[in-house]
Amino acid sequence: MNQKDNFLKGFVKENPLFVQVLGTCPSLAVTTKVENAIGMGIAVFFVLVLSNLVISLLMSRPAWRDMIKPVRIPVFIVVIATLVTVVEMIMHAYLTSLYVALGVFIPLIVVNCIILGRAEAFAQSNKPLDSVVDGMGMALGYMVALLVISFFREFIGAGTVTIWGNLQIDLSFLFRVIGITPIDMFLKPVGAFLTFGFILAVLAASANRKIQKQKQSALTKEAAK
Amino acid sequence: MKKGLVSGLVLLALGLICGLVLASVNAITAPVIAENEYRAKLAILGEFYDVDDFNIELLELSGAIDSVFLLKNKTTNVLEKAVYSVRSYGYQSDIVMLIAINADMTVDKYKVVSQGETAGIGDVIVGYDFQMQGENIANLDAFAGPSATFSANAVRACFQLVGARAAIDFAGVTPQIVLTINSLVYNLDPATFLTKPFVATITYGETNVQTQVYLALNFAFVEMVNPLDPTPEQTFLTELQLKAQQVSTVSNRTYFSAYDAGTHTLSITTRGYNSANPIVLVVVLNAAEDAVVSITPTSAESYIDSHDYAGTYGATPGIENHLIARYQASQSLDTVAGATVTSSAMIRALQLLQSFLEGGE
Repeated sequence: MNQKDNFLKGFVKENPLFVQVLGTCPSLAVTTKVENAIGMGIAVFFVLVLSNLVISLLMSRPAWRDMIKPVRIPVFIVVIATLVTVVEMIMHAYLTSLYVALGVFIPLIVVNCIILGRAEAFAQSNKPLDSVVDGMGMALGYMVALLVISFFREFIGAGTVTIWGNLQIDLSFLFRVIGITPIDMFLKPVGAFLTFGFILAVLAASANRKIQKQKQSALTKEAAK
Repeated sequence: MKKGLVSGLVLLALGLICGLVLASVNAITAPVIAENEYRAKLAILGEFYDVDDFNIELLELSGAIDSVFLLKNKTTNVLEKAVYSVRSYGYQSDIVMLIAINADMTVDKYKVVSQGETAGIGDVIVGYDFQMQGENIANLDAFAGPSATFSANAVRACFQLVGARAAIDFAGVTPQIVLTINSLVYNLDPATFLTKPFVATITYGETNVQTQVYLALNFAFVEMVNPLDPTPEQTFLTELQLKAQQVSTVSNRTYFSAYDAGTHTLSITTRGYNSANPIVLVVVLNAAEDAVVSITPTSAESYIDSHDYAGTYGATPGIENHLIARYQASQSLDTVAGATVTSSAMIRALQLLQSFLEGGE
C-alpha cells in the first residue's frame, strides 16, 4: 500500500465512524453544531497522530517491543491519556470557549476506540511515518464524518450552520419557504441516532449496489466466455 | 517472575515520563488558565467601569455576596469604590445583582444581572429605577419598589446585604465625623418651603454646637435657619446630607411643589410606582388655610393588573381618589395600610398636607 492509499483509506473505505463504527458515543453527543465537530476533529487529530507516532516509535525497537508486548494495552492507554490531557490543558488555556463546548468529551477521547484501535491495529506493527500518515487519514476521515452528521443535525434542528464562533450561516429562510420551523428534535440524542442511522443506511445501500454491479459484471463476463 | 518485574518497570518508567510531560505542560498552561478565569470575572465589572482605571482587588466570599471587587485609585491606592455581586431569592428564582458603592457609602450604580421571576410581572425588576442611585446604601427608605412583592423584596434584600458588607469594606476609609441629627421635619412655611423643603436640628463638632439648618430636596445644605449662626464646615455638611438621607422621618419623594397664596392653592408632588411621572395633588384650601376645599390628583400611575383595581375602586386613578375620599371623610389615614408604591406615595402626600394644615400658617 502506498502512502496515498494509506492516507485516503480513512476517508471512505475504512472510515472509523461510518464503516468501522468506532467511537460513536462522543461523536453523537457533540455533533449539535458544525463548530463542535471541527473542534472535536482537531482535538482527535492531534491525539491520534501523536499517539500513533509515539506508539510506533516505542514498538519499532525490537528490544523495547519485547518488553512492552505483555503490557501493551496499559502502555497505550497511558500514552493516549497523557496526550489527551496535554491537549485538554492547552485547549483550556488558549481555546476556552471550545473547551467549554466540548466539555466532558475531551477527556473521553482517552476511551475513544478509534485511538486505541489504530494503536493496536496499525501503529504497533508499522513504521513511524506510515503510522503518522494513517493517523492523519483516520482523524480527517473521522472529522469529515462528524461534519456530515453535525451539518444535518444543526441545519435541520436549528436552521443554522455555525462554522466558528460568530461565523454563522443562517439558513432558516429555507424553512420559511417551506412554511415550517426547524425540527428541534434533531439537536437531541434521538436526532443524533436518526441522522447516524440514515447515513449508515445510505452508505450500506450504495455499497450493496456496488457489490451487485460487480457480481453482475462478473456473471456477464462468465456468460461471454 | 522476571517477566513480571520487567513489565512493572516498563509501566513505572512510562508513568514517570508521562508525569514529567504533564507537569511541564501544566506549568505553562496553569497561569494562563488562572489569568483567563480572573479576566472573565473582571469582565462583569466592565458593565459599570473601565477596568483599566483602577487597581482591582477581588475578594471571593461564600454566601449571598459571592464576590467583592475593591476598586482602588491607581496612584494613591486608596479604596474608591466597591462592586458587589449579590444574590437573594425572590418569588421563584435567585435574583443576582451587581451593586457599586462609593467610598462615601452612596450607591453609584446597580443592575439586575440575572433572574428567573415570573415573566411580565416579575421581570419588571430588570432595568427598573429603584431610586437608589446617589442614596446612602443604608437608606432603604429611599428604595422605591413595590414593597409587597417577593421580587422587589429580594432586590431590597440585596441592597441591605451590600450595605452591611460595605460598612466592613469601607471601615477606616469613610471619615468619622461627630454629627447628630436631632430632628428632621418638613418646612411648613409657605414662603420658603418650595426652595428649602426640610428643616434639621443638628448637633455637631467636638464642642457639640447645636443649630438649625434648611435642607434642599436632595438633603443638601441650603442655609442656616438663623442667619447669624456660623455655617458648619463642608465636611460636616457632606456628612449631614448623608445622615439626612438615612433618617426616616421625612421622605424627599414627597414634597410641596407649588403654592399660590392668593388662591390658597397648594401642589404636592409624590413619587409612586411611575417615578418618572410623579403624582401631583392640587389642593385648594379655605381662606384661613386650615381646611381642605378640594383635592384633585393628576396621576400617571399604571397598574400591571388593572383588573383588580378596576373591580374595587373604579378606573385609574382609582387608588388616588379612593385615598383622597378616605382622607376627606375622616381627616386621618392612620388605619390605611399602604402596601403598594402608589398607596404609600399617596399616604405620604396626605400626611404632609395634614401637617401643613395643623402647623402651617
